Amino acid sequence: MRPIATTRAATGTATGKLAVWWVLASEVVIFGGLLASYVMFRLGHPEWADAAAVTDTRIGAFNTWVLLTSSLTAVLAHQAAERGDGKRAAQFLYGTIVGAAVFIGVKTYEWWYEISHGYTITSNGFWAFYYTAAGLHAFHVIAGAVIMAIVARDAAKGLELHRVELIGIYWHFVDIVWIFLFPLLYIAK
Amino acid sequence: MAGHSEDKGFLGNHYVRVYLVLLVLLAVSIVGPLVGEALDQEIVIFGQRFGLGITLTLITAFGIAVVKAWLVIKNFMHLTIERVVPKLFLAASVLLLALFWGGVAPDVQLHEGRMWENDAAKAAVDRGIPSEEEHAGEVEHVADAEHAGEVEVSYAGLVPTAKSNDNALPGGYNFVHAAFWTVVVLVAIGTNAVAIILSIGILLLLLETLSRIPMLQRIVGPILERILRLPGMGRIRSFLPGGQEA
Repeated sequence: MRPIATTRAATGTATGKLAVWWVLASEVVIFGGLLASYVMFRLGHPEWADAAAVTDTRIGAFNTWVLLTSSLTAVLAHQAAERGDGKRAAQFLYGTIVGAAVFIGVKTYEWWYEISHGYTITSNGFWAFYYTAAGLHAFHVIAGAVIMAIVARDAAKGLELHRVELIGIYWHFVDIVWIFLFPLLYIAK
Repeated sequence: MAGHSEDKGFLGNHYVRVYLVLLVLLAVSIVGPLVGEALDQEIVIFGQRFGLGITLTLITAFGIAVVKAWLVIKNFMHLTIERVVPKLFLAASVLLLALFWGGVAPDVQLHEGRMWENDAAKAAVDRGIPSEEEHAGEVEHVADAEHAGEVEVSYAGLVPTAKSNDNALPGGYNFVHAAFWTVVVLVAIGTNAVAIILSIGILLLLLETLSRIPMLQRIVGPILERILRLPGMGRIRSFLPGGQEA
């Protein structure tokens, strides 16, 4: 018996995909609220510029490149899945997972460096936002990579190929969040 | 939806071309602010003077972030060719976010208003950006500012008195403050509209789901049918499986 998410489309959109969009709508409020709060406080606290100057733009730019590349492999996986090529789709998804691993590895180094130099989540408002926003985003990256591994395992066997698109949509959203985090936390000094 | 391009080689793939554009935009968003830092001229836009450097930084960092996000939404997520319901979900979220921002921003971005003052925030700014006098050695003031971090927001004159009854609202707004009431009305209309629309949608989905259960079909089916015959329901009817027949 196939799951209801693949067989029903009460709104014209497959129920599974609709659920992903629903999740993303809630994520817009979660991340949007966090980033909007950061911008509001940042505009009211010019002194945060000193703390923002500590973040390394090169690391942020590198991780942006990593996530953009992983988004490309995610959409190429979707393209392969639409052709019915599950093995190729799985390969691209594994490529995306490698991107997620690189991203988290770089983030770990970055945080280790900053924390070891005394910039912790309790240092001031900027660092509180920095660790909360980047930490929440990193959690989404890890969760996405785990789900992607499950989807890739099935896709390699030619099973449930529609899920490749669903995890892709989620992954692109994670990419978009970082597209906004990058200038906010790394460029606006 | 991902069938934008056939196999025309790596660079012939639509998604690869979008990716290359994203990389160029990423490069611009890094170089732009670096150039902006070096510029100290001013430009005049609609009679207002702006620093050229900060303008360039805002455009290249945040303007390009919006463009990058749109390219991903349009080309990778295919939202523009998606049906209307997912778009409504996202529009509702963005609307709620905008209402949140509009309602909260005046109290967070500003540190004082007509009848209130945020001492703690002001002290935090003072601690972070010492004035010339503090550089000269006014240690006492710095110590005061440190203590001020523990001070709660002071709403001077907020409590109504026999002489004044126009300052009973938080944040120092008074009852004739147009901006305050505009925000209140927008929040009220916006959140209720979103809640009502979502509730109707969920109710219809629920009824449609129940009508598929054989045991409940005879009870729920006519109810759903009757609702869908109400004026203005034609559009919603077309979303259900089988279009007009549901």
